[in-house]
Amino acid sequence: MAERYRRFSISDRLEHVAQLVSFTMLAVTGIPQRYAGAWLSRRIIDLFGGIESVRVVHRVFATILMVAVVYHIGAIGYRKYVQRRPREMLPSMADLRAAQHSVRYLAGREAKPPKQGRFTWEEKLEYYALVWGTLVMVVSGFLLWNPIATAKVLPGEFIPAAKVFHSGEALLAVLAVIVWHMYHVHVRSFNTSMFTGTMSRKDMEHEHGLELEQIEAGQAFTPPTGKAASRRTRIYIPAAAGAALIMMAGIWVFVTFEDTAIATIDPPEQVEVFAPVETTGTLVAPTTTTPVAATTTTIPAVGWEDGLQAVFRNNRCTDCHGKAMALGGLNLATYEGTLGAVVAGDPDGSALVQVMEGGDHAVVLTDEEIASIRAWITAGAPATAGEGSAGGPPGWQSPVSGLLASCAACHGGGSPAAGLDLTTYESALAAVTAGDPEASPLYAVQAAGGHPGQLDDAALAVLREWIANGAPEAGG
Amino acid sequence: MNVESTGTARGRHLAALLGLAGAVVAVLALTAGTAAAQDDEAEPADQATGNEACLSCHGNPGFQTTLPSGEVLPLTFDVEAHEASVHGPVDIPCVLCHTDISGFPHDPFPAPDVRTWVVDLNQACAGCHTSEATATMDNVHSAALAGGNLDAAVCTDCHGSHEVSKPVAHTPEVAETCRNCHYEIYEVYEDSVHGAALLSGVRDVPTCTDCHGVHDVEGPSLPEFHLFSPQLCANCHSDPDLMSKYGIRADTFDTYISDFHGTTVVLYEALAPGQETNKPVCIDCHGVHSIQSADNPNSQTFKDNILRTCQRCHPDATDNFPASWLGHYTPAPGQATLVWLAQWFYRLIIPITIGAMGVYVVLLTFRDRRTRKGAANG
Repeated sequence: MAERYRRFSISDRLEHVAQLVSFTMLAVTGIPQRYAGAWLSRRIIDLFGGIESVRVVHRVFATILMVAVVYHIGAIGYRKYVQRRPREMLPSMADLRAAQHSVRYLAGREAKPPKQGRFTWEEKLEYYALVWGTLVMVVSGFLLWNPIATAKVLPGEFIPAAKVFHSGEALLAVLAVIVWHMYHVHVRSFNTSMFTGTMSRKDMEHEHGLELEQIEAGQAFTPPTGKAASRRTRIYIPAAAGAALIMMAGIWVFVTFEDTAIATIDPPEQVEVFAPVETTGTLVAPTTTTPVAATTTTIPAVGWEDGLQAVFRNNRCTDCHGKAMALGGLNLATYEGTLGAVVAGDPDGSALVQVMEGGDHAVVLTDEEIASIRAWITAGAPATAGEGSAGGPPGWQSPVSGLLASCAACHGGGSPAAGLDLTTYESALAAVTAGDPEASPLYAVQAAGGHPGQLDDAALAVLREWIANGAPEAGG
Repeated sequence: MNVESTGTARGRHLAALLGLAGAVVAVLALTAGTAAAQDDEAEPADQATGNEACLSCHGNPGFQTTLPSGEVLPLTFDVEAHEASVHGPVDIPCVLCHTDISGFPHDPFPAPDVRTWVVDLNQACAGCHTSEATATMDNVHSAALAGGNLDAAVCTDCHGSHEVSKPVAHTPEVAETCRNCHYEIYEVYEDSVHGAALLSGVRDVPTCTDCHGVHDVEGPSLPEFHLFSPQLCANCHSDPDLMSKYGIRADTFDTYISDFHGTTVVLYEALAPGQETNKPVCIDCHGVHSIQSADNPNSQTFKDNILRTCQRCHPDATDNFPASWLGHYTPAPGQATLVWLAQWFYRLIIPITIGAMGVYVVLLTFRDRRTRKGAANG
C-alpha cells in the first residue's frame, strides 16, 4: 500500500504554473485599470512604468494564457484519445448528489462531508468557472483589442459592453479565486499536490475517499501501454501539433489584427500662433498733450556767439542738438555745429529755418527768435555780430564758452561736478594752467577721451590753442 | 549782459536738473520698499518737480526723434492718459520706470532699436509688481524672449505703458489684447460658441486667460498643458449651477474619465505629466478655439461629422465605430442598452456568486470545527 498517491503529472503541474502566473499578472495589471482612480492602482501602474507599460504587460500575459489554453486543449485530447481515460472531469449526477450532501452536512443533517471521487464537485465548479471566465475574457478581450475590426461587423456599442464584461468578469474571477480556491486548497487544508504531484493517504481519505476505495479495490485507471497506445500516440502527436499550430496562428492574428490608432495625434488646431495685427499705436504719440510754455529770450545781437548761442541754449535746443546727443547730426552748442544746418545768406534754404518754420518740431521758437535766425543767416551767419566769418585767435567769450556750453549740464549750477563751474570765465580758469594745455585738467581730461560730453577733435584743438595762448577772456 | 542772461538761463536749467536728481533719490527710496510702493500715496516732495523737468521737453506735442536704426520714436508724454491710468493717482516719477535715464543730457539711446529698448525697460515693472513679474518668468512669452524672439509679449504689450489700466477678467478686452499678436486665433475664437457668446455680452464663457493663464501663460503645445486641459474645461463644465443656466449637462468630465481615453489621460496627468499620449482630450474632438456646440452642423462632434473626427486618430474606423464612444452618456435603457444590461448583469452576478461562496465557506468552517470537536470528544 503506497503511502502517497499520484494525482498530477508534470504536464498538469506546469499547466497550473502557467495559469497561476498569467492569472496573477493579468489581475495585477487589469484590476488597477478597472479602479484607475484609486491610490493603490496608481502606485501599481507607476511601478510598471505607466499605463501603456501596464497594457503591454497585460497583453503579454493574455497571450501566455491563450497559449496555455491551446496546450490544455491538446492535453484533453491526449487523455481522451490516447489514454482513453474515463469521464472523470465531466459534471455528473454524482456531483449533484455530493453537492446536496455537502449542503446537508452544513445544516448538520449529515455527520460527515460527502465521500468523493478523483475530482470533487467543488473542484469541478471551479474548473468550469475558469473555462467560462476564460471564454468571456478572451472574446471580450478580442473586441477591446481590435475595436475597429469589431465595429466593422458589430454595432459600436459592443465595445463598451465588452469592456463591462471584461472588467466585471475579471472582478468575479479574482474574488472567486480568493474566496473559493484559496479557501479550499490553502485554508481548509493545505493541499500541495498540485506542486508535489502526490497526495498523502490521510488527505486522500478526506478529500477523495471514493477514489481511494477504487484504488484499493484495484479499479483505478492506469494509463495504457503497449502497441495500440503507442500507435495512437504516433497519430495523435502530429495531429495535435497541427491543430495547435492552427490555434497559435489564430492567437497571432488575435494580437496583430489591427492598428487601432495612430501613435501620435496631430495638434488639434493648425492656426498661425503669432499673427500680429497692424499696430497703430503703442509707440505713436498720444493725441492730447499739455504743452509746456516755451521760454522766450531777448536777442541782444544777431551773431552766433553773442546771440543765437543763448537762444539755442535757453530754448534747450542744445539738450538734443548738443554735444552729448547731436540728434540728426546737428550740434547747436557750437558755432561750427550750427553752420551744419545753415546755408549762409539763404535762410529759406537753411534746414534750421525750414524746420523751425515747419512748426511740428518738438521745441518751437518764437517768431522773433526765428526772425533773428533769418537775419543772422542773411548776414552770412557770422560768429559774432558785425563779423563776416569766424577768425582770429580763440578767446573765452568766443568760441570757448560756446564749446563748453553743454558741459554746464554737469559743470555748472549750485554744486557743479568736481567743483568745476564752466559757466563763467573766472571759474573755468580753475581747470586751466594758462599757456600749458597738457597741465590743464580742462584740456587733459578731454584729450584723454571717454569723458561724458566728449569734445570732438576740432573743438579740442581750439581749446588747446586757447590755453596755449594764455586762455584770454576775449579772442582776436 | 550776454553773460548775465546766459547765467539766468543756466539757473533754470539747473533747477530742472536738481529736480531730476531729487527724482532719482525718490526712486531709490521707493524701490527700497517695493511692497509699500504700490499703496503708498504719499508723494516725495521733489517728485513732481522731477516729472515736470521731464515734461518740459516730453510735454511738447509732436516731440520725436529718429534713432540710428532709422525708426522714429515719439517722445511726447500723454499727461491726461497717464492721469487716467492706474498709476495716475500714485504720481510715480518717470524715472521709476525709465531707469535708463539718470540725468540730463540723456545718455545715448541705449538700444539698437525701439523694440529692444522697450523689452529692456519692461524689467522695471518687476520693481513694484514682483509677484506678477515672477509669475511671468517661466511663461511661454519669457521663454520665447529668452530664445531671442523680440516679438514675444512683455508687460506693456498687454497692459499698455503710460495709459495702463486695470484689466477686467471675462471681458472682450482680454481677447482683444491677445488679438494684437494672435490675430488668426482670435478670428477662429470669435466665431466659436465661447467667443460669440463673449462678444454678445455673456460673461460666463472663457476668454483667452481663463484657459491659458495670465502671467504664467503656458505653452499650450506642451504635453503638460494637453494632459491638464480636460480639468480646465471641467472648471466650468462640471459646475451644475453654471451648466444648468445654459442647458448643458454637467457630467461630461465624469463620463469622459470613465471612458478608455479619459482614464488613460487622467493616469498620464497623474503619473507622467510630461509625456505625450495619443489619447484625445476634450479639445482633440471638440476643437480648440473653434469649439462649437455638438448641435451645430459645423461642429467636429456633430453627429454627421463625428466619424471624420474619430478617423483623425483611427484612420480605419467605419460607420459603426463612433457608437463605441458613448457620447458622454451614462448607459441607460434606450441609451446604450446593451452596456446598461451588461453593467446590471455584473452588478447582480458578482455579489450573488461571491456572496454564496462566502456564506458556504464560512458555514463550512464552523461545521468542520464542530465535526472535529465531535470526533475528539467521541
